[in-house]
Amino acid sequence: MSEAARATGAPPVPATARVLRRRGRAARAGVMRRLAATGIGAVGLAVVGVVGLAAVLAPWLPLHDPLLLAMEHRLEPPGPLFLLGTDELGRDILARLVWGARGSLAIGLLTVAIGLSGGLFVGIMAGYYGGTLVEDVLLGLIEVFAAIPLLVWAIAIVGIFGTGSVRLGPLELPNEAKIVILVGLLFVPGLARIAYGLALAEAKADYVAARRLQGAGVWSIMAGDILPNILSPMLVQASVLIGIGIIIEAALSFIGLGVQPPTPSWGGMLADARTLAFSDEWWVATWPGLAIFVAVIGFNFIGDALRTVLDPRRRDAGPAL
Amino acid sequence: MASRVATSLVVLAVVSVLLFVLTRLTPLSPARIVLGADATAEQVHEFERERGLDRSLPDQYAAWVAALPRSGFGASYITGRSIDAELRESLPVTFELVSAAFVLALAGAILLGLIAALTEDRWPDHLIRVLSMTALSVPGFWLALILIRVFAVRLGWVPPNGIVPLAEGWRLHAASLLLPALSIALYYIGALCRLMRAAVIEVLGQDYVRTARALGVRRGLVARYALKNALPPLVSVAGMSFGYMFGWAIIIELVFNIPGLSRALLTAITQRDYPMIQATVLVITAMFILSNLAADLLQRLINPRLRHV
Amino acid sequence: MIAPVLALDDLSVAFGHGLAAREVVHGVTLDLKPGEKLAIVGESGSGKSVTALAVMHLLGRSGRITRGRVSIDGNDVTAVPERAWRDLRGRRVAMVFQDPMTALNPAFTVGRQLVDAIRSHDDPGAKAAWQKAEQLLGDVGIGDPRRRLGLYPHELSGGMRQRVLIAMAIACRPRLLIADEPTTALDVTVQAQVVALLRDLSATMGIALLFISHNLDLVAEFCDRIAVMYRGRIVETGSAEAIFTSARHPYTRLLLAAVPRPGRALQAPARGHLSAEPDASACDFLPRCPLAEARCSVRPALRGEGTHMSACWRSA
Repeated sequence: MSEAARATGAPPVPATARVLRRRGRAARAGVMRRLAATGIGAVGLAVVGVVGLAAVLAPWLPLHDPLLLAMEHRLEPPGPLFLLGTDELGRDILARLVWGARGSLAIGLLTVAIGLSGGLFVGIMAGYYGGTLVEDVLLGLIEVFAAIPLLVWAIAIVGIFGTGSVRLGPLELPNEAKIVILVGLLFVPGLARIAYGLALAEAKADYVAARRLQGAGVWSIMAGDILPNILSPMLVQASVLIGIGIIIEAALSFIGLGVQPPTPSWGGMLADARTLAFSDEWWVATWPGLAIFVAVIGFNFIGDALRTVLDPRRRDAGPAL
Repeated sequence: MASRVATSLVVLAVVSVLLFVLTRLTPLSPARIVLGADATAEQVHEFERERGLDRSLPDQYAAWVAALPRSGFGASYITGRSIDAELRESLPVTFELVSAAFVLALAGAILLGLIAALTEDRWPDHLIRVLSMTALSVPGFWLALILIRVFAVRLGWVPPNGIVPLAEGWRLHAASLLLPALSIALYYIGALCRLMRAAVIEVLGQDYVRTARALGVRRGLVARYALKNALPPLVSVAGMSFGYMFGWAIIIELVFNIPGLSRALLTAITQRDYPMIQATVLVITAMFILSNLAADLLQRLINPRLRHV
Repeated sequence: MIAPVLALDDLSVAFGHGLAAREVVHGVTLDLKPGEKLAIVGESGSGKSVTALAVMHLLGRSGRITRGRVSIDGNDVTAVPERAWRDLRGRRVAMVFQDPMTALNPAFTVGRQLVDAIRSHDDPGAKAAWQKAEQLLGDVGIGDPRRRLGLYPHELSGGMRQRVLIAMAIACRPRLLIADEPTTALDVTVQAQVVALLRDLSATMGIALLFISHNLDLVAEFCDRIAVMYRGRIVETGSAEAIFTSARHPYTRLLLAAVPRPGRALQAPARGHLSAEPDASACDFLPRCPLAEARCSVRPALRGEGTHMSACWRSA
């Protein structure tokens, strides 16, 4: 096809390019429906739906005040008044769990969003400019940053810069924003690598060459042609990372470098419960851990189902953390 | 191969520069930390000049690199303690823990992945797939708490925290390593098991396996054929996992009160001991890069087609 | 009366389970005498490879023999369990597959794989096995065999890889060698060499050869007998000469005519085309047959005198 294009100078391609551009979008059409059709997809969507809904609706749900101390009720087992029991400061665990979901989900989703955007940007550029200096430089950068073990650096950087808010000129970034940006940036190299591989293959395709002949601008091709076609497998990768983002947030909160008390967070609740693991108040440590587990497995189910629906040929990439 | 080593060294150097810059960008000046908030300006300048902290960044970096072969990481200019001594004490502990976790993870993943692949679509496969999905959704630090509660407190089979030194008997030592290693390993058993399963299933469908069966080659040999082709992709991921496990070790060591790199790093963070933070992270990153390199090397050994690349 | 090396009696193979089950081989009956060379010829989808796999008990999880019998050297092996088959394969029956590129394990040397095949039956010990491997490579026409033993598959040419596979197949002197399109993935010149090799091995070692191909011309030159398959059924069978000179079934004639030969005009392509589900009780070739008539709505059985039989009402 590219021969014909070069020969005639008038590529018979506009239609084909449009068709191929739709290829990616067509694959994603009706994703939700197809996801729900697979067994684990349905379960994943249900779980994430419940957790997400609870997190979003938290202020309006009939819950106890998550910050209210009630020392006379400290360490009460699950009962009619406090459905999941209370912690050592008398706070209702169920309320803290629901409010904690907001932080965990938000951070999990935002970090992956940043990672995905950054990864797509860098990866597509590197792939499009394959064979040039741009590619070498970008790949080199990806190589360096991919050599950074995520959790260690997250801990170290948050440790260095402290857990307070950060002044950035006129902006005051709260601690959570700092974490989101940091972890999001740390997600970029891995996603960029995958995007690069996909984009490289797409950039060699005939329709891209034809588009260039049409006079389409570089950004138009990258965003309008390559991006839609690699979006599906990238979404699969990203969905798996959401669970990891949630775990990282929980881990950081667990060691005190994440969401700061008294704001409820699942990791923080587990940290509080550490000493209690050795005693009989099993509920303080169980519920937050269970919440993390449920949220993560829900997203993992979705990720798996998404792979079956959007990109069945690709094997999963293994542990990202 | 040589180019891979060279690349790794370059990456390590760049990473060290990055770390260096990060620790110099700190919000609080080291002088203020040591001397206190009401130190005078001359005291601060004196402090900085003595430790070469007033020179330009490239100068400082060059000096730091030059000092490495002679005196290692030197002493922390915040606490005055020798960084090298701390690292020498804590690195082996963490290394042993991570190695134990790694062995557990690999053994579990290879075994379960193999079984799942060989019994594809039958009940063992389904069970293993569910279990592995569960394993990689459980946060390691929560698992640690549960394990401690059940096995150490309730049943008393293993000590609830700390590592029993080797001198007191290898059995006790191993028992004390078991829970923390398992806490780190479970996620990786889940993740690697799925990879193994996919790889073996793919290999079993290959023509050469069909040929071997068609010629009556013994089952043990067919399994060897399959494994040798299924393992290479696993090796590179395993290498990365070894490096990642250092990150997890930091969290798990905290739970179990194990005196490894975790204590060194987290103490350094609370004390704002930037040189220590820098050294620790650099060492862990170096471990990460090294394990990737080792995995690469191993992969070339196993897969003859890569040998001349 | 010597028992045939291979005897298929009304063999039928189906894939899938329950409602989705599809029969792909219907009532195949043929036999092969010791040292004889029989070709099964047909287009893709005719069931010829499946028949071969059924003989070797290599149908995989979703395929199974639904009817009929497979006998090797007079022994009924249809229901023999997998464990016993591991003994039979390689020692009594061996198979060579189509694509030499993928049929050899890329992670092991050619010598290692050959030796493993040798030692899987009556292990003569490592040293003897390596010597035998070297000798076998020489037997199949590979020069400098000792050096070649240490090479990896990707270091050999396609033709050489196929020779290695043949060497592995004959390593334990099987009574029957099944070759499933062994030359299809090779160059034409190499094809001729491999065919010649198989013919010579069959003659010198007394191995019966079941040669599967879609190329009627190729097999007519070196096989003793030919069976033509169409849509899972044998439609004609006879000696190579008989089939080549006086083919009776319209499909066979079509196959012969489709190959351009000097001095003969190219035949026009057949009417119609293969549809997915033809009428189950009619002759399968009906949609494409230039000689079709009313009675073809009832499937004819294989009929004919002597050894030349054909499943066509018009061939009597």
